[in-house]
Amino acid sequence: MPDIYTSVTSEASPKYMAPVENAFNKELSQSKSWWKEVIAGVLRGVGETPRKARWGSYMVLPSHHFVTQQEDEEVVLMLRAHPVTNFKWVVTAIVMLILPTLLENLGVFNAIPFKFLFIGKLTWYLATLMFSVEQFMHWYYSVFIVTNERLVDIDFVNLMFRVITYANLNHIEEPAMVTGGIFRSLFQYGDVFVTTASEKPTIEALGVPWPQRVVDIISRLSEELEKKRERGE
Amino acid sequence: MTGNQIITILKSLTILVIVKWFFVVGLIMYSLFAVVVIKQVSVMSETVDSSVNSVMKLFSWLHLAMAILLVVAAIVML
Repeated sequence: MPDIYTSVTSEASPKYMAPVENAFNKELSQSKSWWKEVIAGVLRGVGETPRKARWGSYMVLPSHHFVTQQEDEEVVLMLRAHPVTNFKWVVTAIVMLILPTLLENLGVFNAIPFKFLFIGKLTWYLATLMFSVEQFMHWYYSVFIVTNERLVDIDFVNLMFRVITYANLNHIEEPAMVTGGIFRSLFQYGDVFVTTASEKPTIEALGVPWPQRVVDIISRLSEELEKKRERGE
Repeated sequence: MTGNQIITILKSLTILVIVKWFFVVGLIMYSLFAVVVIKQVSVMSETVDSSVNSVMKLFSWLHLAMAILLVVAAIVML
């Protein structure tokens, strides 16, 4: 084998590749540890600790990962609509469940042969089940995520459409919240709106628990990022 | 198919037979929807990793199985 091959493989790779990789890793780990301190400070400032509340609709420092999450990105908050917002579809599903029995007792189906009624009822119950699961999935997978770098809003309009909106924390204006009404005051949930300079001017988290805390955390993280940029880091 | 055969088939059609095939066609369409649901659940599961994902995937496959069973039941029973 000519010398050129052996010289490249035996000398160049360990000698020149290793320092570049180490420098990158060092920078990454420094950035990570800096962020960990900042996140801990922000959470301490608003009186939060890593936790999961309201049936997983308010998670502080969760272990979950999301699609397009970057290596040095850490999830600070993962939010869903408050569980009480599911009330409407739960009631609808219950009504759908009892409707066939109710109509049968009223004698509406008397003229229909049993086998048609049987298959019809099975189809109805399967559709009811699918409706409930679709509504649950819509609630469960529509999340609003606050990371150390950006805001991520994942919305499922229905089973067919997914909309993901991002906003960098250093490109956002002052976040705002809206709450009010009996239900919202009673269960402490509301809407969070964050104005951005991008094409889609507002990123929103609707019906999330403790909106004032969410706004507070976003503001503080954004402020820390701004300070970092001013220092030229 | 001769003209006589077509007339015999048309004579054997009753309201219940028509309803039966409406049921069957409707349930076949529902089964196709169930296939779409499987695909969609897998897309949703990619969004956030969670222990619920496997339950949802299992449910979507069960849902398809039940939809196909209903098509068979409709053809056999009605």
